Amino acid sequence: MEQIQKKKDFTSYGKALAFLAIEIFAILAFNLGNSFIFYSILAVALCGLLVFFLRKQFTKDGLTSLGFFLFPILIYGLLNAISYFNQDPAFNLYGYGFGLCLIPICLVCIAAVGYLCSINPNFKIKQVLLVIYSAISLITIINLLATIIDFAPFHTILYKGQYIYYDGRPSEVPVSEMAYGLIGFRMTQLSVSYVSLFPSVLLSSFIPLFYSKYREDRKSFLLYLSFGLLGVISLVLMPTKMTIISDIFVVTILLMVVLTEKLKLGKVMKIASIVVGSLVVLGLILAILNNLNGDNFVKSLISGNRLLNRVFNANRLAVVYNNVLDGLFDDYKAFGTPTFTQVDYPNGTPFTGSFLFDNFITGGIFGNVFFIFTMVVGIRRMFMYFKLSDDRKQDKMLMFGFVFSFLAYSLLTYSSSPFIFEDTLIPMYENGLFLIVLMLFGYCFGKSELHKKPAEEKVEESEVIQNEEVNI
Amino acid sequence: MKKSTSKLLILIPVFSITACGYSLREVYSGNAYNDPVFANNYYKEWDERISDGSDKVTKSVSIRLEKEKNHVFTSYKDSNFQYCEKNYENYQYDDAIMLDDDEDPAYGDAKKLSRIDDSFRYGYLSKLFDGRMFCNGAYQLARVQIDEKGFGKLLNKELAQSDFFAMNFKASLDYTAHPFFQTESKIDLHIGFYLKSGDDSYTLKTVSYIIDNVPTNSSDGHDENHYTFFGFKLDKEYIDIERCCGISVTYDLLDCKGRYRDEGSSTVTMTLEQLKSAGIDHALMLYEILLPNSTWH
Repeated sequence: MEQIQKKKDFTSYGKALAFLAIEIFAILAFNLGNSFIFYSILAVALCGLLVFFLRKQFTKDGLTSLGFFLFPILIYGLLNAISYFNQDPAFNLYGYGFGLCLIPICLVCIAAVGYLCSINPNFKIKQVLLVIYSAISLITIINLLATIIDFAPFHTILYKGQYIYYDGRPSEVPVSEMAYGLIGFRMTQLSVSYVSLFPSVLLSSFIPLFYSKYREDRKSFLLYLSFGLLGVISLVLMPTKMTIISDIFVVTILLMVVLTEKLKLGKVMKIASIVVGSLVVLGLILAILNNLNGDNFVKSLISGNRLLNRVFNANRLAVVYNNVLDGLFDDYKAFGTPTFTQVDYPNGTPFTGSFLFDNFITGGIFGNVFFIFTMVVGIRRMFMYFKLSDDRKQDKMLMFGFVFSFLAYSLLTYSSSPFIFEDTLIPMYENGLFLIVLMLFGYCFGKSELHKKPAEEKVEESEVIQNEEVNI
Repeated sequence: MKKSTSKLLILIPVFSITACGYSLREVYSGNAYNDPVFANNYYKEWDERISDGSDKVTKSVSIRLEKEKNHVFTSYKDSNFQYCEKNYENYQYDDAIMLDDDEDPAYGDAKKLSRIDDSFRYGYLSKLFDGRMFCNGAYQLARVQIDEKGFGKLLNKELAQSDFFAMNFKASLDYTAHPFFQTESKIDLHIGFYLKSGDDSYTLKTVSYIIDNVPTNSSDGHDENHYTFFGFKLDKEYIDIERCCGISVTYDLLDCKGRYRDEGSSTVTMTLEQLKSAGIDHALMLYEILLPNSTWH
């Protein structure tokens, strides 16, 4: 009787905790601007509650793997907290000391929340995904309507090269690079790149349509279809060159994700992704070597070859990236870049428009290494989760879609300085959608651990197989 | 079909209110009124509803200000300004960007109209509401250059009450013509207030005042000898501008001398007639318009 009572109590708590977690997912998806303190408080509070109520569900193996998962995130957070970027009094997060500790604490707690939710039987990923996409759609509609009202449809084409005066000064960017939207708790002029992030992520909501039937689940089908169409409409009404390129990249990645699953090309894609990943890492190493002080073999090779020079030096993106990589191994740049050293950038900020290179600024070389490591480990766990978990296939695919669409878009067009008329910065680790990616990684970690066969069972199985072979 | 048609029709009012915000009311190709040619930098825009010949404006009152009766002041240290601004001792006649944190706040920055409503932050004339009272090396970025015909602008808010009016400005002869020394201009300044009198009609009240010694071709520093800080008390008995929703600034140039050193290092003095014959332009450089301690709706 007592055990049934305990189970009943836990179920109530479990439902309440699942509800709280879903609320936090919604708040993060709504991306309340520069509200890092708010996210941190929510993450710490919920993490504490989950640990307290779910403590009896923990296993030794589970805790060990959680520790391995959280360690690189903790280091990434710490390196950002102590970086030279955050020492700049104009931009550091809520002062020194405790304020800076918020970065690693928030990142670790957010990831841990995802892990802990996976062991709460009342936490349903399908509801969470619906809430996330609903919140993103809501902010997309708000931004779209606000932009249409304050500017005009297709203003990015109609007002090319036109500037407005604000506070007595001409705007630093033309009207064609602005949108009007909600950030935090106010409406203001924002960069088109930032506003287009949400509809670009919404493009992934077409994925469930490949895995569900209209007749079986009409409501969800129509909801995801409308989310996707909203994303398309929003992107069509404020197109820019960079957002079009980024969205083509996003759509390509999403198609690859779906086709890989549908055509069972897992092994082929694994090899392809290793090859592509290796090429990207090689490219990054070459780019770093190309920007070392003094002459070296790589520099001479690149400048002497027309194609390599075009790729690494003579294009618009390379110029921006090279400014970050230049002198990367100087004392202060190895641990992030104070913004006061960067004077020739739009809005007075040094950011490149790619999270991969922006991480060199906010966290330095080592911060970026741990970030890349976290992403690789997290994505690898997502594949394990896909294979092992008993969640619906459409939910698993949608999770892939969310993560890959966000990373693909942000690789080319991440806006760390979304405000047009203010200097407030929003580095990657403050972005609500990135924090959702961390939570989903944590969820995948937990789910894949839950369904992973324990080591003893594997040993027993292999012994049984061996014995059978001997008997034969 | 009918349901989907009616749902689509909802979009029509949405699209009909596009471009209704502040942002696109004025757009410019790059940095406007920033030409090397002096004559190309005059701001001459008049809102068509209050421009000359508009039938929406009724001329009501034209007042010639009197220094004592209307507490007119022409400098920050003027006793009439101290009468109008009771807390003048708590502020500095300087720009906020020039001051350290432990100094008294800048008057312009503390009383600027852009603190009252966001609509004052938009448009070319936001230069007059941004709290920057002085050049301090910002040149065209800080000032609005006007000729005698001036400008007229309708605002997005209506004035309910204000203690007094103030404007910080100086004058300039075309500095590209000759390297003129600092001199003074004598002008008859006219400030027009457009009061809402109906849905789309306005009553104009104009105040005028002759200022003998507007610094002309002075340096760009914030020394009060380089600017005129002009203003007057808004007393309901004499000047009631409640419901003011528009403003214009014009002037008549009464006298000015231009002095410069020629190639032989002799000082040349040009009278107003000589300046006009030589086609040398004169302008007022407006830096800030203030309606301190005002309330709006």
